Amino acid sequence: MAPRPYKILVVDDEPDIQPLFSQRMRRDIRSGRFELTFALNGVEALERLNQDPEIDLVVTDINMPEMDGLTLLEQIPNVDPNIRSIIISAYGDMKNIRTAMNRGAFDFVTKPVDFEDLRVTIERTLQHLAEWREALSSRDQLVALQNELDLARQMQKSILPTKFPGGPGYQVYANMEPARNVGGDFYDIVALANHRIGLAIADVSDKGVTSALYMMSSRTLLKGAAIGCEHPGQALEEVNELLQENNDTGMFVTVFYGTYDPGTGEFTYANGGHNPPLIVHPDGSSTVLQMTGGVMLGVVPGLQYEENTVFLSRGDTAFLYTDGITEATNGEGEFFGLERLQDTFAAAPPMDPKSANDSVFEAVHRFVGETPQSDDITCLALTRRETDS
Amino acid sequence: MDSDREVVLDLQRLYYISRAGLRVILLTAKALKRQEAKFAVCGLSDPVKEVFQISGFDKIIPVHPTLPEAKDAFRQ
Repeated sequence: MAPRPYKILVVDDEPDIQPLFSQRMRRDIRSGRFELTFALNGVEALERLNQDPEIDLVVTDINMPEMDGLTLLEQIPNVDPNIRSIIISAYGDMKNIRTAMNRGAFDFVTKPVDFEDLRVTIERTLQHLAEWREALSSRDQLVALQNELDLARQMQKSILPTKFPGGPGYQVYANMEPARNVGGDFYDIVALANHRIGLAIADVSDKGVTSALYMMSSRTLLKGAAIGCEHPGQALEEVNELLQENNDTGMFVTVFYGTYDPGTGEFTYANGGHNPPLIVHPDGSSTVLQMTGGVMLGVVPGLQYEENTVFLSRGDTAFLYTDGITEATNGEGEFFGLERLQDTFAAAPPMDPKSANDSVFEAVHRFVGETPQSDDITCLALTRRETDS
Repeated sequence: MDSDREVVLDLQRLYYISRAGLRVILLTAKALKRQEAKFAVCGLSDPVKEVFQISGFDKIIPVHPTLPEAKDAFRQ
């Protein structure tokens, strides 16, 4: 389909103008490039503009009865700020030309009108108009896209638990700080049989809406698997199988999943390619949980996930996190890193899971300063309390 | 053996790789596999090696210390 012709409103009180323009512009009219419409003064021009929203461009004389061209220029933006105008002025009449430009005229031509010059001026104005419209539409699309991203981010955030279980002898706390672009971190806390609880933290391979969707399906599958099987390794095997089917996008998710027994402090875990959590002791020292050699989920079928078991002593905190912490970057391009994370705990031994998270977030914020956050930051902590009361 | 069907990605000048970067390598490996081409990476710097180990990436993509060793491995 050919684009519709540009509609040009010519405003002049000389009745001869109408046949003259039509004759001189006949080639552009015949080719479907322009369509001309006429008005005899400013008042009539405004009426025409109000009736016909398809008018793109106004070419107007300055001196006219009823309403002159300069007044018309002032009125046009009230009808539609995206209409462009060209004025026709007497040769050398710089005062009026300047006033017209100040009132938003895009360009001018002088009398007697040289139609070749006018055509070039019109083409230039229309070119500008086309670019302006494209910019406007990209801006609208950008706004729409941004709204969509905001929605995806809200969805991502809304499925994360914000009420944390606690029982005799333990407390849990978690939070996620999403990056400006929708990321793919998540955590989950699942009530299991025999008062055990499942703790999971995960990070999807990329950012954006696709990642957020992948993250949501990973989270649902993991929750199902966690409830269905007692062994963390088995749960990861199951989720891996389901995720790797029909995965042509190369997406993957790293997941650390462990089950905690509040009665004994036993913590059994398996790791699908996630950075290993820390066990933080009451004196602020910390140890990295032994790696179990698991591969990220969603890529290769038939993988096994080895388990390992540790026991939390009273006052110990298991601190699960995503690489948004260790890879948080400051203005010099340095990473926050594991060492600073461990130093944070050494400087302020956590009393409970919330204080552990808070001090880490605070340290990371202080470290990055004004540098924009490029990745989600997520922590999930469980503290075995000093007493069971 | 047809050397057009062997690809080694030499990462020796790479000091950081994000998850998005791993995904690109993964997609490359998959595409090559479909064409029945051999694929390996070599020359991992310490930080990159660490990312490969933690994510388990080194268990699904062949990793070699140097380019000649990667080429040798294709011959075996």
